[in-house]
Amino acid sequence: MSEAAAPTWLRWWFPQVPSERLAMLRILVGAYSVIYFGVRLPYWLSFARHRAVQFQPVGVLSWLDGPLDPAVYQTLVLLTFVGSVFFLLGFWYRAVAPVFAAFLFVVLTYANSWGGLLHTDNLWLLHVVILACAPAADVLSLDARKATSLASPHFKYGWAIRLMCWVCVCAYFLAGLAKLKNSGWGFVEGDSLRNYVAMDNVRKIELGSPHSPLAALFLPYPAAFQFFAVASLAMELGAPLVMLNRRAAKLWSIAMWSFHVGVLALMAILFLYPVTFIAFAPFFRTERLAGLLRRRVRKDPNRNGRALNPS
Amino acid sequence: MSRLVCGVHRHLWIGTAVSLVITALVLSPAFGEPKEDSFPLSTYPMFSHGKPNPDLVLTQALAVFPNGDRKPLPPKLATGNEEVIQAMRMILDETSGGEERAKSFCRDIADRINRGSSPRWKEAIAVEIARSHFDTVTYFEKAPEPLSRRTLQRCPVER
Repeated sequence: MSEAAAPTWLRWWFPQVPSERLAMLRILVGAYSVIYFGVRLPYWLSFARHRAVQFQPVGVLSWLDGPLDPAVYQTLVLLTFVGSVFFLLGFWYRAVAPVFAAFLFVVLTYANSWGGLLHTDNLWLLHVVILACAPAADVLSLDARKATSLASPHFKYGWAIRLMCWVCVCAYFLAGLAKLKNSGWGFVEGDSLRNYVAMDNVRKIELGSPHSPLAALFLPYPAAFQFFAVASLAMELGAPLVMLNRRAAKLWSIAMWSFHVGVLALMAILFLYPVTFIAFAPFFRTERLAGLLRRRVRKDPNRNGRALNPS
Repeated sequence: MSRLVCGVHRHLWIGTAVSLVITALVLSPAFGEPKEDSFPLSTYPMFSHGKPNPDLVLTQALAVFPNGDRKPLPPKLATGNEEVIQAMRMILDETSGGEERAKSFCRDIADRINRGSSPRWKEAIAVEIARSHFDTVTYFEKAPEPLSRRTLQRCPVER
């Protein structure tokens, strides 16, 4: 099928993009994985020592009768960390990336199987799974170290980026939908949000955890919470629309990032993946970062007489 | 030429299949019960329910000091889990799972304090698991105190 003959929706979902854009997303998500997973290794490993009665398996582990053998689980955590390094470097990518994604899936599900479900890692995991299914190591990777030229723009690099954007907007849309289903339009009055901010901070204080000192300053102003409620619901329910316009998508990304910074400031809840902006990177031309990265590696790109950009 | 066409089709099939499967999975929670949640497929229900009043009933683990002061124990010390939301659920589950389980949980916390090296908790003489009722707006506007508190378990920190 020639490109011209393909239906519009197919060309839209499979845009021709530079291989470096997808590879750069692999590097960003991979770097996040190595640092975040590595720094939190003691946390992930700690689930091997929890009391068996506290185990409440969810998702793909729902079938388990009890916790995994501690040694098996801890080995899995360490292999996941090693996998994250291979994923970042793009080393044996076609074989290792799917295995890393599967191991990360299990470890994160296991970590969420002890009572409260956290929602901070969902999007990160989905992005890893998508990247693992895509040719994200064709350039800027150890697998491509012997390649003499850059792969030209191709639609095989486009769908995964489109899908990463799509699952991102879907996550926010679902959050907005949950507010409508559970609270109705009354959510926009802001009272619930104000009460939640107060409640969340009190329970953090009373559970000996860091809280937001800013919350106490905002609580006397209910109108502020009405604004926050309207703005957050509009951004969440309107999220899928930004798929239609690149500029709108960029503005929405910045708005959502601001929303998460606000949540951090008011509730001391850190959604690290969006706050680092990596969650929104698929909406941007990340290949420009690759250019910066390369200039850092080779201080003078013109010295060897070979153009580095595909154009 | 035929290899090229074959490769194009392969990428189209993989891209389409992965996109459809992931889209279906990610959106599937929207068609289920709003209260059901899982990982990584979620309805993202956090802070979505109406909350018309600022009340909070919280089951918490407290360290008791010789002068009678009570201070909330951090999640890691109370449950072994550093995530506050998971720790909160663990405390609730452990104290609503029967008397013996609650006592055993209380002793575990006392043991963790005893084994811990933090000087802040060295002076604690007992652990209390309490159910406290707060007005969370008044908490910030007037006084950071519970409206009421009921002790569910108490156990000494033995040294």
